[in-house]
Amino acid sequence: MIGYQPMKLSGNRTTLNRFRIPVRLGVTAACAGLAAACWLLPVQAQEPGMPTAQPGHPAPAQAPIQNEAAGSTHQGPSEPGPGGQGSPEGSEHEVGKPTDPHAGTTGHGAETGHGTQPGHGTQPGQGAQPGHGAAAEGGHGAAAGHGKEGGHGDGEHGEGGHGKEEEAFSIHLPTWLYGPLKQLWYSGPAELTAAGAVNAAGQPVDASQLVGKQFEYEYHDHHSGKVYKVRPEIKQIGNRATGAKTETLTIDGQQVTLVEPVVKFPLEGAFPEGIVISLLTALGVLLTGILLTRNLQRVPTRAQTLVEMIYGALDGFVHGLIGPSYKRYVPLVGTAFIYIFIMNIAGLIPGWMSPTANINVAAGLALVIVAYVQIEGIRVNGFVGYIRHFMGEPAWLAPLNVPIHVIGELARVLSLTIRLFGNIFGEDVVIVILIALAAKFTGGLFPAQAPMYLLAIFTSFVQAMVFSILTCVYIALMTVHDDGHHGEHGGHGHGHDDDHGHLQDVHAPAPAV
Amino acid sequence: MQNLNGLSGYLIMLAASAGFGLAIAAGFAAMAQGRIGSAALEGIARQPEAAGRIQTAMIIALALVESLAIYALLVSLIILFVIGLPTGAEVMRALTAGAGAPAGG
Repeated sequence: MIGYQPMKLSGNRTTLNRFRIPVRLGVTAACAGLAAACWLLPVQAQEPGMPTAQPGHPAPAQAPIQNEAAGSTHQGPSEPGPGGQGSPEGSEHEVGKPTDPHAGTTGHGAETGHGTQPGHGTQPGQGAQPGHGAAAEGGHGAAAGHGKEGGHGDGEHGEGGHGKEEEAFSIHLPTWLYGPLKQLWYSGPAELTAAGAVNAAGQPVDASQLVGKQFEYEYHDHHSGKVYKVRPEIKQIGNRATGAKTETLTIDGQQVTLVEPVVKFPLEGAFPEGIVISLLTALGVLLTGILLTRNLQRVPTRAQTLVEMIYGALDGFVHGLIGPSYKRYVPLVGTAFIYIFIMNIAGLIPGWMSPTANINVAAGLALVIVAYVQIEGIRVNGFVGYIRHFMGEPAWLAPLNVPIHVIGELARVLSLTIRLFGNIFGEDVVIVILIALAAKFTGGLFPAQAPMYLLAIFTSFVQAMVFSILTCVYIALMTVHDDGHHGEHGGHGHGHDDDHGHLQDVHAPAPAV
Repeated sequence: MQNLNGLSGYLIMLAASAGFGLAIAAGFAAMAQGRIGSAALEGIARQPEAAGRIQTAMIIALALVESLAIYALLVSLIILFVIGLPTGAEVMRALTAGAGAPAGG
């Protein structure tokens, strides 16, 4: 038949057929490696009621129950146990403020963090039992010292064990990065505020005598259990005489008992963990991109072929969604896709965490995308056209349409953020909880979290893809005019007389989510 | 619950909503996703050549619906971890302690 095109079945792709065996072998090997790694790493399960340990900092005093399997040696505790750690109920977690590594402050005297929650007396987070915290990090063989990060996403999961001081359950910077950063900010200026001060005789001390004084103080860091010598300056003293936590110090020669002292390190704010990790990840992606796209040749090398395939896929994907004027959006959407995918996946790599498990990172991405869409709307439609876009189709309904559209745009920020954050953070939480449950019931021998890793890979990919698709859809909604004619006029004058029917099809209910 | 100082109702509602909220959201989301999936499958069955595009649209729709369930998950996480609920041990202690034991939270 003339013009008959046989249906293209995927099995006909002979160029890729050669890869099917290596790919299958590779996937099988990866799964086997994953299972083996889950199994073989030494797991440290602790009895409930014992103070928990962090990766590399096993519990003090009590010898942990070891469930090592063959092939791994467990190095002895490499660091002294955390001093102020103890809690008869092991660690409790709270999910909340994933950005705040030290949320919750009834801690041992000194507590850093910005959004501290005093009086948070309850035991939050009953998803798992007291063995949770230790097991969460133990599940990665973490007690084997710093060097053996072994565990999957150790940096994130290992943060489970933080002791009773209501640490945020949050997904933290990886330990090996956190340690040096902590060193850095503890060596900087420090500030101390206290709810009250009482002198040796029990009389309240006047605040003005103390404010501005500096003194030597030993700060116990919850996460690592190390003791740092810092020189905080007293910023503010309240007037309470008693409190949950007191600390007796010698300031200027006199004994002063500080009530609920809190030490803050201003430098800590300079390294918000979401920013640090996301920038490092971006740097990695950037370097990879640069390395892969150097020396492009007409007859492509294998690496170049791979890159071309990825680019071709992204190009087709954006083309299908936006239409003829898609070319200028491919860099943004492609970068968003690759970057978000890598960030999501990074949490599964031992020794790293997903920046997107931190809501601020997700919010930043969403804000950038929505802001860009607005800017593109102004650029393509002109400022008048942009306003008209918000006014909607029957112009007399503008007072109704404008708030709806504006709220719709804002809702897009929220929905993009929460979708990305919720999915990635949720999968991290599920992995940690599975580790804890497995540790509790089987002593850590069963890698119950392993299947979740596969789902996590799938979720990471899907969420990156959905983010990119929504970006394209929002751009298309903002820039595409009737008949698919794109407003590439670059200015105010549209040049066609049917301006009234201008944005007609666009004002069918635009998905706000 | 005589020793919970009147907070029992509040805590009961918190605990129930933390559980039921997500269950209800997930149930409805599952129903919606089932319908999306079945519509997509029907479309693919009619026109196998369009499978790629249909699949893409299906994934988008699935993710949009799923995000609603994720919102409910976040609310549950907030209730459980940020607001916090007393542990079983605490509740038992409160029940068996003398009068005036606070309920925690």
